Amino acid sequence: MRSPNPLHLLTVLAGLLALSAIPPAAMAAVPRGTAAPAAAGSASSGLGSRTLPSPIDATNTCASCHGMLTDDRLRTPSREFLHSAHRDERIGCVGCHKGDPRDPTVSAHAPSTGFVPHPTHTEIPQLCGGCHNDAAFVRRFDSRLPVGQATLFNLSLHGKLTAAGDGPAPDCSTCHGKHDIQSPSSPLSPVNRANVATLCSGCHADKQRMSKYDIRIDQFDKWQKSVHGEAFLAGNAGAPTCTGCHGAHASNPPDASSVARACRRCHEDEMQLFEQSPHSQGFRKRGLGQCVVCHGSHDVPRASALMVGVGPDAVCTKCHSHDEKPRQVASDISVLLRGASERAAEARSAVARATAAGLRVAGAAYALDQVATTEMRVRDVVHTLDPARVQALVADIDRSVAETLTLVSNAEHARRAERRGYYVALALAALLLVTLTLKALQLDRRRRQAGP
Amino acid sequence: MPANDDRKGVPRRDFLNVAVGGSAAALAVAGAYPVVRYLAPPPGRSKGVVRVGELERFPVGTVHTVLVDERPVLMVRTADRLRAFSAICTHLDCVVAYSAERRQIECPCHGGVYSLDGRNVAGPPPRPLEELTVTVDEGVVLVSPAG
Amino acid sequence: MSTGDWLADRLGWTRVEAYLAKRSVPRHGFMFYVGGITLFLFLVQVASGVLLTLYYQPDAAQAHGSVERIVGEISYGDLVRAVHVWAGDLFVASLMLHMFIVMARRSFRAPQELTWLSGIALLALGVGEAFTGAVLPWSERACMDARVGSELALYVPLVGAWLRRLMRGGEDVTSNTLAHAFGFHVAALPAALTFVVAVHLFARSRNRAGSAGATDVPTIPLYPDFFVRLAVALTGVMVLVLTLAIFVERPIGPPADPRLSSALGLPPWYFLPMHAIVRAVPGELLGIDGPRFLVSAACVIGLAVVALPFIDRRGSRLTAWLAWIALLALILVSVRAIT
Repeated sequence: MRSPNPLHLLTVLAGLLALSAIPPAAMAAVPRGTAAPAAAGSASSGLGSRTLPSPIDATNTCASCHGMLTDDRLRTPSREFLHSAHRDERIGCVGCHKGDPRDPTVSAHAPSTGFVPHPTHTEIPQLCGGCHNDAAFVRRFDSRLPVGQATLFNLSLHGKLTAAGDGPAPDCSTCHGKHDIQSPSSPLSPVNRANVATLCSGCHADKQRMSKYDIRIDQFDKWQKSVHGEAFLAGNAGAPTCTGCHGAHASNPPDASSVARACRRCHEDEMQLFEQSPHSQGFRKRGLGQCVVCHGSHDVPRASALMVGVGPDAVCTKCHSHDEKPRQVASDISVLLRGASERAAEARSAVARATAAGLRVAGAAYALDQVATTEMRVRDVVHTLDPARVQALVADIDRSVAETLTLVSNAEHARRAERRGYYVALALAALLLVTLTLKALQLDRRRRQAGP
Repeated sequence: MPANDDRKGVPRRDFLNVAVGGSAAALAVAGAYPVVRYLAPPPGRSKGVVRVGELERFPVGTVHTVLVDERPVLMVRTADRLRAFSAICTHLDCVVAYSAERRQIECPCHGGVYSLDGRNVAGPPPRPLEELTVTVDEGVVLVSPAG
Repeated sequence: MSTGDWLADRLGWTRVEAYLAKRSVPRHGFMFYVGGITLFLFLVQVASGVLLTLYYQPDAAQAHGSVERIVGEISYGDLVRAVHVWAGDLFVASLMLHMFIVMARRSFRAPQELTWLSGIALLALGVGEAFTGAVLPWSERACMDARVGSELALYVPLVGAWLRRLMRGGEDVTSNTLAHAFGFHVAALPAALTFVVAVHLFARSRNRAGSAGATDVPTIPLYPDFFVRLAVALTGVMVLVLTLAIFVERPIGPPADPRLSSALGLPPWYFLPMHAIVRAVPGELLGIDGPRFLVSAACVIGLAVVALPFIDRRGSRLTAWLAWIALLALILVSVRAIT
């Protein structure tokens, strides 16, 4: 082995020395320990803080004191506040209650500090609105938060009653809570869409509470059994709950003219078609609520072809018990609808039968799809009360049904022909078996006769 | 071949051999027929109408290639109509393409040329491009194979 | 000259015929047909399998749909698939029956050791074909079979983990399992089977029979007598396969959904004895983990079966008795498992 070149050795040595110098320099840059005091508390005790801040912390001395009290009425609010959406130290307890947060003694409650122990029922909307109506202020916390709820609330009947001092009427805290307010998107919030119906019915289904107003208490019950309620409770996010039709902060009880506007928000197509019908003018003249007359309001049942016609379940007979022409139209449309639905069912059962037999009918799924789409269109067009238009769509349904039945019949025919072929093959195989057996027996006989 | 045995009589033995051979042959045919049909099944019914996109996707004066039932189709939008043609050349089945500079449909394989209404105007293609039915339903373009 | 004579001349049929006519087999030897039946069923599987490969798609998302398409849309596809399923079951049954008969007649003795060894290899390959084939439709049942069938492999001594990865194409039953199963079922195993069948037949024909029968039983020549009888047997099997395929349904089942918990079901019938014993075995035996003990014991028995010609050189009656008792026991255990 050759002896190493001294120049190479020196270079390596220098490199190693350089490398060993780095760690101490790097370590000097790392802050030692975690005892760095949080500047004004905003960096460290952020929104995720779960422990009580120490008394010297500029915010929430209220919580540090109230958290140690033995009286539950005084301790619980501070505990609940730990989970509140308002627990940001820029709001804190003082945001609503004022007082002096830097004073660790009871004089933090002195009247000179503006301390408000219990905001009254009528005061609360103004208190909350003080911040939530101020767009510039709210924007500092969350630029996505909506503003103006208080304005809307004051326009609503709830707001007007509360401003007048009415006890059972709600203020902000009735629905949103007091010290543990959650964002509406949280499933724990009473105003989360999933919980709205339970919240509203908490008052509106309460006999005692509603006794002084002229309001029924069966809306929640009816809604639960309605097609909207069933869809909603089954998890359909498109189905409406109370706020979907009545609104939230500006909730207004609808009257005859405005019900249709609520329905229209989702059922625009049907509304447009309805306005082409004689009912549109007729209802308006009589001050009847457009959709409600036939479909109900809270108790909207699943629409079916049985609603149309002159039978016992039909809604037409509610008004048209004797008028000949409307009854004729109702009867015509009813016959068309029933026929279409029967034929559609026939097509579906044919495809189901084929599928159960192991057949896959190419094109049948598309044809059935067309049938289903046209059936939906037919239900919409019924609102025009025009049998000719209904007829045109029913003809489309019939075409698709005929196509489906042809496809299924062709496939079944082909399958039957194939099976006949199988029996033939089986018979031939049996025939071969017989002839071969005879041949074997013949060879056997010959052998025996030929002798050993 | 086994030795003839006069006691048994020739016709009967031959008959059995024929019977065996015959039924074997019949069975072979009965077995071959399904296999032949299986190997090359008749063209299945198409899946019906295919959505190829919104009308805005095919601006006036453009030609787009879309897939209908896994086959290429040219969507030709002129000032007055939207038409669909199979992009399979009628000469030897190559896939044709639109040339924007020359405003014509060309086949790269043997130089066939079609006009914007599918007619074969130059080169070897013997027939115009097959046209498909186009319907527009609420702004959505639907193409169905074959008229 | 006739076509038959022309062919015979070109293929040298006369010499073959003379050779075959000189060879003879016992007139009443039932066991001589089982091998031919097994081979016939294998050929049926190859033919129907090749046809199925034309339309089957070995992709996890498309496999089930492609099988449904074969059965529901392709002309005569339902027959091809039904034949493949039924003949497959009969093939495995025939393999096992063949083995048991050979053990009972002690035909594994010298100089037929190579025949026996290649035969055991064929049994393993055949069961492998059945196992991988059951996975291919990628139905709920198929996924479960793949999982349950391979879970015990982990307990095989030494190669357990490797073996399970081999069977599953990974640690768990995924789309890789399907890809693995397809490659084995369609290419690797059939190629291996063909080669080993050739070895098996060659070894069988090269050496005189090692069975313990007396040498003065009435015999018949291989050609034409035995061939015709074999043809009868094979045609009978074909009639059986066709009848089952036409009249007894083997539904595909719903497509596999990996989110669903495994429905408690039974494995394919040839795994039933193992399944029943596993269910019955206690958690621990002699200080070893229950399933591990069981699988190790099975491996030991398996090795004994493989080495049978060398263990039982003279072919004692005991082996025959053990064979029939084992067969009976397996059948009883399987029946218990079903009821």
